Amino acid sequence: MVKWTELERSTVKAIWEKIDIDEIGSQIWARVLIVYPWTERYFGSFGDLFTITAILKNDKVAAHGRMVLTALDKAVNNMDNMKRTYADLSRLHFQKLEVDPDSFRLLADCITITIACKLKSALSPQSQAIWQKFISAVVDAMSSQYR
Amino acid sequence: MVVWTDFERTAIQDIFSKIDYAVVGQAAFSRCLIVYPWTQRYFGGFGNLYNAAAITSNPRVASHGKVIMEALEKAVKDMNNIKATYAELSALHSEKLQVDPDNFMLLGHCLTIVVASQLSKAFTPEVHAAFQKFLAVVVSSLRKQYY
Repeated sequence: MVKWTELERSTVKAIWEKIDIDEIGSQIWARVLIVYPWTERYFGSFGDLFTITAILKNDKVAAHGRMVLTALDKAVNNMDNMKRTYADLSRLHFQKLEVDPDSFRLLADCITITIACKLKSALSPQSQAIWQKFISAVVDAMSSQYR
Repeated sequence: MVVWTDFERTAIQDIFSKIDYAVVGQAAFSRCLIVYPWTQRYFGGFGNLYNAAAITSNPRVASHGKVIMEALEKAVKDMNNIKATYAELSALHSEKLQVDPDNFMLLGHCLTIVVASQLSKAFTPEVHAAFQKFLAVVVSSLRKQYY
């Protein structure tokens, strides 16, 4: 189990409080699809992803981003039980969706960068380090049911 | 040879014209030493790196950050010849400094975070993708002379 100090817990919560799930959620997923275009393979049913403009305007992309952040909220509120919190989601991504677990790391990077755009210098080096520890734990938990 | 679109060239040159090398270099390099502490092993001669405050105020960290940005500028000025531009630096990092090449992308990630927090909304997914591609080419060129 991952050990969290009081500072780490409060830093993660403080960053999370500043994130508007609607605003940030719609951005992160567009960022993943644009910066790492091979991830589009998982979203055949999302309609037009053929151009950057199309991706940025795509409602399904925005909605999926919001869904991912809503799921991330569970991790923020269950930092001591992430593996259990994400066991079902992990199994779903492995067995049914067949998502390459390396993609979780790409998404994690895009979330961090979107947060940096929003928080600017408020994401200090120490805060970035703590946030990255948190998001790596989430990525681990999401990979945990992959055999 | 890497093919750059006009958008990508303009985006990269635009970023580098907007940033202060001393500020961004210091911020990115100190962030790397703080977020990925094992990278400190390469800088034994830099004095006090014992905590984030020491790293952030260390003058050798600051000046080395600027050196890195000035080296990146060489790639920006000659985007069609990045491999040739970095041949000597690559040999240096491999043979003399013995730096694990995986670390190049860690620094790249921290630089992306600093640029994102400075440019904020202007660091759109499209600009982000161009910057990511640029860093990937830089890292690949720096890896070239390793065996």
